[in-house]
Amino acid sequence: MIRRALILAGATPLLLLAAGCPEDAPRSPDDGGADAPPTSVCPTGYLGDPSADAVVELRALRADGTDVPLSDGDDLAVLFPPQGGRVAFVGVRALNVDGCGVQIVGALRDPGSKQLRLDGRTVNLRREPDGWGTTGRGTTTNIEDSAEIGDYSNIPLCPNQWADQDVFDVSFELEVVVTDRRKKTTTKKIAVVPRCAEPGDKETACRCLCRNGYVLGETCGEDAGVDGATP
Amino acid sequence: MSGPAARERAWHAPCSGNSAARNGRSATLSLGVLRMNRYVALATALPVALLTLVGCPAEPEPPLAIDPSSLQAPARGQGFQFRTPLFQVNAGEEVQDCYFFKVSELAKQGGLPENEPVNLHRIQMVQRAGSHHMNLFRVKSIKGLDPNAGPVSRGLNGQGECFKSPNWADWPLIANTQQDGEVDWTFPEGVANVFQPDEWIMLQTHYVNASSQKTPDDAEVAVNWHTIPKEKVVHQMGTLFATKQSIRVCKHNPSPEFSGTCQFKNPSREVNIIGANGHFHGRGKTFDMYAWDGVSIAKPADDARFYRSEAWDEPPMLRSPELDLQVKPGGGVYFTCSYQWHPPADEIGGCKALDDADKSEEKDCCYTFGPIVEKNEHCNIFVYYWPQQETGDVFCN
Repeated sequence: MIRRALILAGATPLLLLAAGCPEDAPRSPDDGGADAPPTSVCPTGYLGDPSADAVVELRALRADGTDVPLSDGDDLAVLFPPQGGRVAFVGVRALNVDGCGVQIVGALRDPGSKQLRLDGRTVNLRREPDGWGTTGRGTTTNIEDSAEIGDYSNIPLCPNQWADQDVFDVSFELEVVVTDRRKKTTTKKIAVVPRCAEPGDKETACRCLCRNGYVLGETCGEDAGVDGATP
Repeated sequence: MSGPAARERAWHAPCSGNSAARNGRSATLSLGVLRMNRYVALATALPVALLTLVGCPAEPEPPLAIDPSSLQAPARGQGFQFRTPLFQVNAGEEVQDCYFFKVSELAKQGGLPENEPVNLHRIQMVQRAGSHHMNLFRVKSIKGLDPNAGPVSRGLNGQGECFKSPNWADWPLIANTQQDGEVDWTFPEGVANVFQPDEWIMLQTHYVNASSQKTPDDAEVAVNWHTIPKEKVVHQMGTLFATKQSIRVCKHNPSPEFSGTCQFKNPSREVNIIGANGHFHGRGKTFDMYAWDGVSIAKPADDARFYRSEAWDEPPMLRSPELDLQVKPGGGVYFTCSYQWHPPADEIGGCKALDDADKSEEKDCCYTFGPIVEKNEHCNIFVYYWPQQETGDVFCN
């Protein structure tokens, strides 16, 4: 194996010469320098004015899968995702950013302890007729489908082994950071009230999993968040 | 560093290469962000191991057997061994089986009191070639996988309860290996993973005999648990498991990065991380873990990074004594999984196969979350620490 590695190390420059320049390689979201805008790898392209400040509005999914605007003081739906537990699905509507390979980091912070939980992911925004870009599909999202929720920040909230208060019916801070491939970045912070948003057994389980002091493995009913989904 | 870890380090310092030499692959140095291959690790560890042989009074332990059939069981009254039978993995198959064992029965088999807790202090795991991974879990909430339904639940090519990760979403990991991996891990002095006699454990084997990995012979796994008496237990060990499942690696979003956090709920004292392992599949480019303060949204600085994997099929499994990281009160782990899309192999059906499996309306040749190595991706972290949190083991979805 060592000999193979040495041969490979020696041969690599020759292979690079033979192969030419790596221009055809897919670009990383990090490789967009400020001077040379990276080539878009998705149909969205640039959204708005590259010289203007980025503008971001926050959005979130409801229990029925609709995508709604999120303003200061609003309720934030706490939902049962395919991965189990409970999460909030947070998205954005954005202008003056590169719509391809956007990094979205969503976090919920306990205002008392300052502890937070976050989820970050690289997504392509979808160009709207008005020139803005949005996360998600623009129609109702099936929150039971891992593929459809993949463009939203899946902020992991429960089991609650992190906050010093229940993660429902009390105020938290929602923070979202959006960074495009040219490193243009903007941050939005608002207050939200997480709500267990699915009725019946799911609400009961949500209030159990999301209460302050939950111990992993504690029984929270049949719908505690680990059934139903196939990976 | 303080407590048992410090004592362990102080006493064993001249001899610490012993376990490094045994473990080989574990010699991935974290804070320096260097991933050494086995040969470099061996070259580093060998002189220390030789010094150990010359200068240390303790009798060196025999090297870990790499054939499960030759793994010697612990002495009676000091632990026990359990194993799978030999089984076949045919060409083109991915086999994932879940074997259940009751702690009291294992204890009885090893000559330990069957009605008392078992204090695991050292674990050895050995598997025949072809394994994609081997996970050992502590059974918690029972859904589709039920130990009372039988000693083994078999899964084939993505089908069966043993392939459905929500079934073990809150089952703390005890130890794990990856491809070509064997584990011989002794916890710091006074640290034990404590199991109650009525608990079940689940051994999950995943063998692949396909284009990405081969299983040349029959498959088999064996595990040794070495215990310590309760009066020697100073701290209980805990496990942290975090997973990202709504992930997509697509043709038109070819280099995505996913990040997450998971903290220990311990506002008043430090937590000691003594083991770490990341798991993704073939599109995986870099898997990083950082010490994190629990309150910052920004990715920690490079000097906080304690783990990096750049080889999906041979990821480092860091463990003590090489990994002994103290996390400040309220802190935890920040992790990132970055990927590079590449076209799927024709033999699995190319992009059509991925699009057919993608329930989303967007058909963009996406690799999505799941167990099939050729078609799916993962982003899972396993972290081992002490002392265990009052809120139990830690799970972040």
